[in-house]
Amino acid sequence: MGSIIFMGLITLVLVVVAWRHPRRLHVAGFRAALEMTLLNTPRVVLALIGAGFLSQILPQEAIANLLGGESGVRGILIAWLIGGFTPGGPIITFPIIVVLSKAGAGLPALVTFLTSWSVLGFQRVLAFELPMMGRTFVVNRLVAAALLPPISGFITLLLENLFE
Amino acid sequence: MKEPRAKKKSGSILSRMFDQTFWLFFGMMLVAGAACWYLRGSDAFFGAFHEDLNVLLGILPRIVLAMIMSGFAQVLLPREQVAYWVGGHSGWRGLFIATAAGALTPGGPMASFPFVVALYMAGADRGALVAYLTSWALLGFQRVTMWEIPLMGMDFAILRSIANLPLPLIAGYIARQLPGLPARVETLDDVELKVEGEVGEAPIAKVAQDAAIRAVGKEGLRDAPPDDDASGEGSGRRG
Repeated sequence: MGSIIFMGLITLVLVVVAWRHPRRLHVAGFRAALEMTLLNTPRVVLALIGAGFLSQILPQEAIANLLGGESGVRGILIAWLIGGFTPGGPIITFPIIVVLSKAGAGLPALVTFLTSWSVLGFQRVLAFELPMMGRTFVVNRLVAAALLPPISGFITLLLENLFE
Repeated sequence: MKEPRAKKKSGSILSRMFDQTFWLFFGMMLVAGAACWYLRGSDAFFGAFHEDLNVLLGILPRIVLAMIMSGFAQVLLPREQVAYWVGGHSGWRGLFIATAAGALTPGGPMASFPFVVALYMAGADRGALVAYLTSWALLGFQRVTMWEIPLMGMDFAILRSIANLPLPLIAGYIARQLPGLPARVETLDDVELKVEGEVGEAPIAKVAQDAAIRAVGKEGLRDAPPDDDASGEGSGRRG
């Protein structure tokens, strides 16, 4: 509820600023806002429902458990692969990381998993990025981000060896 | 033409609302639903559907507000400033700024994506946007303070943040180098062209196309731009 009030206030400020603008931008603003709302809301709604079904097919716990107690380079590679297929938000993901950590997964694997889930996670891509930004942007960003998880894992491995 | 929004032909908004992309997502939803029913049974299907509807009821007002914010931000963001700080010629400085902005942006995807759309419309280049999104996803202070530090501890949060620190810059740099998809909005002219393209409908493709045509200097390849500049300007300024 708080976030709705916060967003409403920001919207109000933007509307007033556009209205008081010397070039009277509120008409153009309303038109852009209407267009954004009409074009994107139906897509995001459909995409959210679809992504919800997909996350049922791939239960988060089952996927994360593939990582188990893996560590080292093998852990990094497995975490890289499964992170992107792990659905859900931070409410479920972080408790699972705690469980994985207790099960003996190494720090580099955990960092790789978190990075992979953050930048490649399919649910956010399907529900928000694809409907709003379009396919070309999504493909471009995914290609640019594909190697980031293992990079973060190997940096962690390096740091771990430096400080132990 | 100085108005950020070109005039749209009336009635076209409905047809663009239910365009190919819409039906693509509709089809994806149906396939995902069918697969869910087939693989996990009807209970999982109705459970997921019920949960999705609950989530939707909660976030639908926020989606609509976010879209309105994005629309107004699009017309208010000063194009020349955006192009200067995070545009195609901003170089590493643009990537650093985008990374810092991403780390400081609070909230979930509802807060960041509409902002990205608005920045994109205002002339930010793709490398900067990729750096921004990557930074928001990896270094966002809200997630670190709300989830990571309480659950995993300070040491883990610091270690992970250090390991992730260079990644937004790397992603932004790679995004700029990718072939075939020139993303750099070169001049104010390109920004104008882009605004005449379709808001929210795979907009990058349009800009990339315009920029590519511009880059190789084959103006003739481009479809004749909509020739209703005068009317668009007029209607935008009225009121």
